[in-house]
Amino acid sequence: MKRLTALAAALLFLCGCVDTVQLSQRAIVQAVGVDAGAQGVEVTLQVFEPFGGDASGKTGCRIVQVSGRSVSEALENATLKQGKEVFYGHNKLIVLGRGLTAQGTKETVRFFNTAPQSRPNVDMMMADARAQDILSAKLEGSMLPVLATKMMLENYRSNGNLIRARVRDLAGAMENAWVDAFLPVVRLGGSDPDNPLIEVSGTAVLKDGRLAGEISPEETRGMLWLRGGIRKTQITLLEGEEGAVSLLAREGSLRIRPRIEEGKLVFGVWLQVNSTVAEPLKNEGSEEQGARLERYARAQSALIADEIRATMERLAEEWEADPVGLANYVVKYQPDFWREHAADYRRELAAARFEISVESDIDPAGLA
Amino acid sequence: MNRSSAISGAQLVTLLFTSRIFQFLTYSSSGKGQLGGTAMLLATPLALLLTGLLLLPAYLLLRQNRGCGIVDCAYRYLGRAGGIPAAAMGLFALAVAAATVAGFEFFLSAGIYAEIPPWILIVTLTGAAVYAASMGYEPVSRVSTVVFVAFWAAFLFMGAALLPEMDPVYLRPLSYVAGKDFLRLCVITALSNTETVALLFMISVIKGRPTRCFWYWTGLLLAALELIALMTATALGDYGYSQRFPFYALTKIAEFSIFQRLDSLHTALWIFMALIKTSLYLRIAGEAFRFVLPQAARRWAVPGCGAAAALAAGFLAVEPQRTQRLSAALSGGWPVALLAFALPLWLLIRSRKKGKGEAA
Repeated sequence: MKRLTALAAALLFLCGCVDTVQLSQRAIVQAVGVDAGAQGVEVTLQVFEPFGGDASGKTGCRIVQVSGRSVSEALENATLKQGKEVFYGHNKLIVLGRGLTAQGTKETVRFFNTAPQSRPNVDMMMADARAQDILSAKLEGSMLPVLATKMMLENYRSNGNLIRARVRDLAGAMENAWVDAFLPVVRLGGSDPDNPLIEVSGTAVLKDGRLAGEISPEETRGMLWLRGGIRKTQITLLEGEEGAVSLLAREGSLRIRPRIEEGKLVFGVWLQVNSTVAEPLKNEGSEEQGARLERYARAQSALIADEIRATMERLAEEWEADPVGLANYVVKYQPDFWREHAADYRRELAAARFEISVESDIDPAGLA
Repeated sequence: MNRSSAISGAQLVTLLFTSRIFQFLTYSSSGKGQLGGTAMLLATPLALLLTGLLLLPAYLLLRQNRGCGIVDCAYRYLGRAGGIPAAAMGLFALAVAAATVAGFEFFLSAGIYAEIPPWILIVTLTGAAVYAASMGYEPVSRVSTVVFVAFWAAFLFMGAALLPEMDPVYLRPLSYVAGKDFLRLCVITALSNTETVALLFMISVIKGRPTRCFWYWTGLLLAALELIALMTATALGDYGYSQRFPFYALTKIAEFSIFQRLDSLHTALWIFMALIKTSLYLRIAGEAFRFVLPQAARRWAVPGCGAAAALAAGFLAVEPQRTQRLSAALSGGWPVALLAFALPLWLLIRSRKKGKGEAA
């Protein structure tokens, strides 16, 4: 037993057999931008600088630009260029350039999906032009630009204007031949070119890993309703003489059920939305408050149904694209149809009909 | 059998549970060849029932030979030929230990620490496991009790964190799975349960009622495996097909408020689970070989098995396909069917014949 104990204790001396990298020898990547380049890809890295940020507006990161035939080769080149080992285990954001997205994103997504350091929950988006412009932008009042960008994304998302796309969402879409991926589109905006702002301008839809088209922020919300992802969004109704009425809407429950009618797919969509009135109602006319809220509820339901319908016309009819994942509902609820028509699913989707029923509940609490 | 190393029924349950569940945590998927979450959800209870039926001959045999293990019964009814089942059990346990070490090394080097040399993992894990195994079942089972509690806490926390990610649309109808494939899944799930052999071997060291232990163990396994199947299917969705280690992928996507990167916590826990499983099977292998080894060599049975397991794991680690082939052979059905069903059935028939002979 003493020998065994000594043998077990000797294992403690093996810890020196593994190579270690000191923190000062690591380049901690905060955000990665990937653009198409002459060699293959151009990678832009936002690297954390522990002593970089200060009150004068200097950011706590520096930009490293490298190129390579693949993302992994470019990252290896980044290690050689700076003499520090690139560590992207803390990476928070991946921005793909428009050119790369148009050429195809599969290799890039595959790298970030399989690399041991990479995380599946990292947000991804597409730059309206080049990813390096987004990552190199000097955002005012931000020591860590990636955190400002992430906060901006979160604001857009919580207001129902952005569908979050993560590495795992894109990797999942690559595994399903009938479901398509999507990416929020960002661009540099604002009135001051020296202090630009990052804005979300819509959603890019990818078919087979390539850019198929873009939908507007309104259509993005139509898609969000179908994905059950709206936590809060402002809906403005134009009600005749009353003018604009603002409602804050939250998605309640969502049910999507495909059925077959005369050999064609019909998607029954039932959506429940809970709202509050964002601004106090003007006490005009003789209409009772209850009746007025009912009228608003009907108008809100019609508006949401129109948003969904318009989005699906664009996605399904025009592009034969399914970023919502409707194929999964057909697989689950119409197995016989799926077995017969899986190969023609996209054409079946383009010919499908959408029956949208929205039930709006407007909470009268707090109204005068 | 060494009674000084006796363990309580509860300890046996935690030991076998930890050992069994470890296989699912580091399970390496075959991608789109899988039958899907619904099939797994329905096959698991049926497979556990089948395990109960599989152990029926052993139950009858051990009931009429109280206080004996399966190897004791083999010697009682087969005479000196009882050494053959003992050696077979030893080889089986040694193979499971080697496959556990090699599989865990593959998981760590392929999924987490790509740059670490395999031999470091093999030597440290096997070295620690030999030490633990040489202490006996009882200390290992005490560690397993702590790990069992930690596992459930971490597992349920992860489940709660994954609730918003779960989408039932990924639970596809069973009609997509052919009847014979589903039946095969049930049988294979039952026969891949190598811990049934461990249970039979350890019967004589249990202080509680083995039947009750079996059902508690089965109930806990059922709960854990159903949750794993449900979470893997509904929270990972199509993304799961792109992952070599689906359960590990779950730990990577689970986030709850400020609690992120739960995979580090789970991996730390799994290292203990790998240690427990390897120690358990090294102990069983050592105990089994003690029946057939000469007196002087018996004290070296566990360290010898450890050295053999480390060498075998090193050989397997050279090519991951070797580990996969060994794991497939061990969980393919035949070893468990032979050792947990055919052997007890044969011994039971022999005992009945012997009983009739003595009565005549």
